[in-house]
Amino acid sequence: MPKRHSNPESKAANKALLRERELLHLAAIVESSDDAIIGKDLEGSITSWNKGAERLYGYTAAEVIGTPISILSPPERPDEVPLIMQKLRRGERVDHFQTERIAKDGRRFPISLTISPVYDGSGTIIGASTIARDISLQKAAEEAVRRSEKLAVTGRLAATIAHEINNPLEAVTNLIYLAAAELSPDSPARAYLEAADAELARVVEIARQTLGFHRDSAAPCVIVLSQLLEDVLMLYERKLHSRRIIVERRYDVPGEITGMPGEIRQVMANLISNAFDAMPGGGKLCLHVYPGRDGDRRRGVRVSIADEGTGIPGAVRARLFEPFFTTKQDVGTGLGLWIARGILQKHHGSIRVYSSIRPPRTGTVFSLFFPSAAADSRTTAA
Amino acid sequence: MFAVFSGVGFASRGESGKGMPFSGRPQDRTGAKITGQRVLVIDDESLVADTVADILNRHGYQAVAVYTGKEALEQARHACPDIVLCDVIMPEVSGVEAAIALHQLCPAARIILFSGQAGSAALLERARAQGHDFEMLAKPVHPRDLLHRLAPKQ
Repeated sequence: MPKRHSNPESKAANKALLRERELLHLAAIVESSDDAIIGKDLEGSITSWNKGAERLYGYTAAEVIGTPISILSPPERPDEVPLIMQKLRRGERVDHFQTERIAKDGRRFPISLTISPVYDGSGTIIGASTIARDISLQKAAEEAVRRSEKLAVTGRLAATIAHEINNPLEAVTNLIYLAAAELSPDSPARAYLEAADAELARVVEIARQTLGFHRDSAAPCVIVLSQLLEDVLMLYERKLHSRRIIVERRYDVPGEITGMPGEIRQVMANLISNAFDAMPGGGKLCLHVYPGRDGDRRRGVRVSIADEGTGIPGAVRARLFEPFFTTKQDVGTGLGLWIARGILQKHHGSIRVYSSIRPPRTGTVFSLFFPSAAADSRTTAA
Repeated sequence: MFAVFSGVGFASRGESGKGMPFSGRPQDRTGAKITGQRVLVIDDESLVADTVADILNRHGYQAVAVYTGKEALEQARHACPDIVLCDVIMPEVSGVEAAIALHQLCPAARIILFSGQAGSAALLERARAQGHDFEMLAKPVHPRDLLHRLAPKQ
């Protein structure tokens, strides 16, 4: 520390020293920050580029200093940078602006930018400072929440529809019955009404299966898997015909297990529906219910659902049960198989996929295992 | 528009009963001797209550349709029904509450809860826990199945 601080010249020198230390300190903070901090001049040329920016974009400081900042922008948004510069020249800040940027390797990623004008000593704007943050994870999390909310809403919607639809279905069933009873047995109108009654019974069954699944009974009960598979197939009757899909059933045993019927039905419907989609030109769907053991030698029932589609390549197969993983463009949430696996686990069972993509024998088999009721001491039979 | 359906008897048409879906029991007066049981049908959806009552009347029951729990209790005070078919979800007096009140009023009555909601099983459990042995029928039920369910157990 200087000994003579009453001297105005040394006071000024001290001040300059402190100021320099302060600036070096600030510079060090910027340099070591995890966030990308980028400085640019009023023309939009990059003037500073910290380590965070190098990590985020892949360019070194030497590569980008002096180049226009627009090299980082996606080509289809040419106006973004000029608009931002306009705002900055007016002295306005840009706060948490979400957009996309392109890294050195061409990879595109979502980003959040906070851009502030930079002033010189006299208060003139000389450039701007950008703090950029990669928000890919945040975006993925938001998407996941949105999807699960969508599912929840769909579930609630299904509950509402199920409730609302049952009264009119009851009324119409009764009215058709009463109308037919008014007619003599050989009247043609009576035959029409009988046909209407049969179709309505189908509607009732579809509603029961598709809208009621989310409201399982509180306790597990006995399920006959072969019967459950038949129930699900009935839902797809028309589709089977139009898609020229032949169903081969091999019910070696009825397949009695204990569990939640709605959930098991959901799994089977999902797998059977996937099998259909795998065979757009038609083919054979094979359902096999047979006694078997799992890896731990527990006794139980095995169900296999096999299609003759093109098969699933190994890379896709490895990710099949991941949440949000889907190969279908618009249809589906990518959650079906993940949920199916969860349901099987809940029932102390398992689900596996086997597939062949090599002609002539291509296709996929989903193999499920359910421990039999006697072996499973955790649940109580109805 | 459906006033004609409310509880009035129909002229019999002598059905042949050849195994077609609508072949029921003979609809003449002998039907009344076979069953003749008094049924109280309670549903706030008047169309459902009326059509159920009509179907039952066609098959020899004496069914009356009411649309509220209050009306049901009034009817029961006049004469106890043999069977009560009661919708679970209703405004004001809920179906289960009405059923419990009816059970207390007419302990010999067979009470069946009629529900359009799959989640009603929980309600049934609670009523059972309170000592009320109610049955449950899920809407929509085909007339054929309803009649089968109501038929006296021999």
